[in-house]
Amino acid sequence: MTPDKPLILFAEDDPDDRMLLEEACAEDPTDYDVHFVEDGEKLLDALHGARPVRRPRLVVLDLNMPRVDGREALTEIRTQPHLATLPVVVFTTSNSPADIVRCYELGASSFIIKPSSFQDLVATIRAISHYWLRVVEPLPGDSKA
Amino acid sequence: MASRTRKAVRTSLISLLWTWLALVLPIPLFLWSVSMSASSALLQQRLQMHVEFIRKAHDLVESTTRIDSLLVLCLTDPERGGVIDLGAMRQNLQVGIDQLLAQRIQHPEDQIVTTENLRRIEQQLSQIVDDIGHFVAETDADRRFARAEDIRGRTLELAGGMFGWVRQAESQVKEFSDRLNTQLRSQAVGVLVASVMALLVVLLMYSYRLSVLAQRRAEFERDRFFEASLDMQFIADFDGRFRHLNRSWQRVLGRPIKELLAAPYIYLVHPEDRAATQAEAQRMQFGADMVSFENRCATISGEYRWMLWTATPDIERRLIYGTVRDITDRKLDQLELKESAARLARSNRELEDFASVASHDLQEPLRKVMTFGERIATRAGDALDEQSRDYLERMRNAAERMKTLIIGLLTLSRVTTRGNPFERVALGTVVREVLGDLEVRIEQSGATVEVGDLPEIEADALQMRQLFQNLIGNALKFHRPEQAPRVRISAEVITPDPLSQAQRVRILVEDDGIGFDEKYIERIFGVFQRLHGRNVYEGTGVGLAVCRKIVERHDGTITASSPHAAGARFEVVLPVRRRSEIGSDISVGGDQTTVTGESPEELP
Repeated sequence: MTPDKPLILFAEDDPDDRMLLEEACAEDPTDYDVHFVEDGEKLLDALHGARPVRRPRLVVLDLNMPRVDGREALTEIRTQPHLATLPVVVFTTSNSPADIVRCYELGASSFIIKPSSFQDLVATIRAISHYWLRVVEPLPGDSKA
Repeated sequence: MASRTRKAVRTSLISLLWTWLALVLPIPLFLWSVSMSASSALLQQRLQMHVEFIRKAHDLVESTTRIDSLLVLCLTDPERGGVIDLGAMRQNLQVGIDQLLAQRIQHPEDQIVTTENLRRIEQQLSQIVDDIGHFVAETDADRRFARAEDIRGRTLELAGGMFGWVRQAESQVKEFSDRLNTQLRSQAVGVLVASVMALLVVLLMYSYRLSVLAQRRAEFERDRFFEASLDMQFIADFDGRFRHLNRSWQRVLGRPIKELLAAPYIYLVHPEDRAATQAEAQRMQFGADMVSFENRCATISGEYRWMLWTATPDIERRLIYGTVRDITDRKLDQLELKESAARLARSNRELEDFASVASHDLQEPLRKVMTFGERIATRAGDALDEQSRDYLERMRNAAERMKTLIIGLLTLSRVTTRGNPFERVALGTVVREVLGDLEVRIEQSGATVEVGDLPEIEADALQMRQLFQNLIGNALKFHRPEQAPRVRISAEVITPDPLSQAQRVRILVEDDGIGFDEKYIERIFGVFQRLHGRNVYEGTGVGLAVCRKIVERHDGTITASSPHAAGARFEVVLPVRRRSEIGSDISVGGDQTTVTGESPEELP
């Protein structure tokens, strides 16, 4: 992990998905570091600095995870003043309208349904990284590339 | 029952007696007054006879020439006969009447008459005199009464001589007659007044009797209402006791009325409800009505039944009048309703849980199967033999289908679990938006879509959109091969029930496509029911099931027909308003297209 590279922090409990995401990110031309945590609790630890992970430019959050799930983690993130502006993309299998509405209410930056094709996954990851790392200017307090 | 019959008999006997009194009592009174006036007429007649008699006597005195110094009149009882002309008698008997009479007058007992005739006359005369005994008068030369004595020899006072005597007699008779008349008249008037009074009294008493009877009847009817009511009627006092109860109490609680009247009613009430009941009773003592108060009362078997109380107090008389209804059954129904509502909510929750499971947990492994299937195909496709590639392809197709099914089920379940509140929806706008969404398909198929005027209704806007999306989508999808589909959407506002005036809108979606065999009419609305091979017409298999669910949620109906399998015709009937409101002025505007019973071939 190179300190000056932007970091995308993935919270994903499913090893299959972690593998697919890693493969998809490998095919992404945008240069960034990737870090995975397995649940919401570990995500919050990482963000609070309990574990030595530098501040990410983007959090990609699965919703259904053991212990602290995505919704709870999102709620917690948005209540922390230093994390209030951190972009959090919810990335989940759920296409339930209730989930979508709820997540935006909790402060999600975006809600993306996991595609069921690898090609689509690659395209999605490309779009996400491009938008949040290249298009959007990091807010003060967020680490810059 | 027996006491009521006895009462009825007594009542009718009493009224019979009164009728009798009213009719019969005045009759003897009337007859009496009639007989009084009749006897008065008789007396008058008799007096008249006396007067006549005196006149005759006078005439006799006037006309006689045979008597010169002495006239003897023997005035018989006028009722028995007339005047006996003693002058004529003397002549007939050839006897000196003067002498005879003088003897008789002066010495009626001592004088012995020697001749047979004289004795006979003597006897006759004395007989006459004894019978009638009036008076003997002596006249002077001018035929004035000089002297008159009665048969007992008492001198009679005669005023004004002979005529004076007659006049006096006349006037006395008249006076007597007048007095008698007056007396009789006043007596008759008295009797009349008495009989009228009696009649009045009888009438008065009879009318009083009638009013008493009317009151009795009113009471009887009230009692009958009181008794016949299926509800439990009561009159209670302010001291917490029943004063009067109808039979329903016994029927419902199984306790004898006497027992219910004996103890304070609070003992009937369920211990948990006593405080509330007493509070209600307290309130009533200050004049408040008791409206729809509920508590539980114990039956004789110890079971508690729910009661609904309505009562009103009479503060002056310190009484409470009320009605109690056994609502146990209703309560149980309510309970059951509550339970079934809870069951429904539970089942809805389960459905929602299923939806959430389906939207995430079911799809996740499926997504993996699809993704890794794709990865294998991409990375190792070329390395596989043809059969393995075929297996892989079939597996991936099955996974796709599974995904379609899950999405279909989710869509269906969300009609109920994710319904939005009803609002005013312009169906015309909805259909325009749907046609916008379907633009590509319309262009690709070269379809003609004709849309009539559509009204505004109260509905779930999103679901209306879903409904038209499915119906129009179907119409475009099931077209004949090599033939551009023609679709027609129209609507009209109808009032199916003239009593309720609730307006409904009938929407028709017609096409000229392949139609369907009408024997499958029920199946086309079923979940995952397909009439055509998957490979021919793609779809989730829930489109029409979703339509039906949406329509049912809107309290409407959906039917399909396909006359001679030439095109399909879907008819949706929806209420214009959410609740049945009268006076809706919704109507379809000017150049509407109303399609009724046209065969799809005639479509433009």
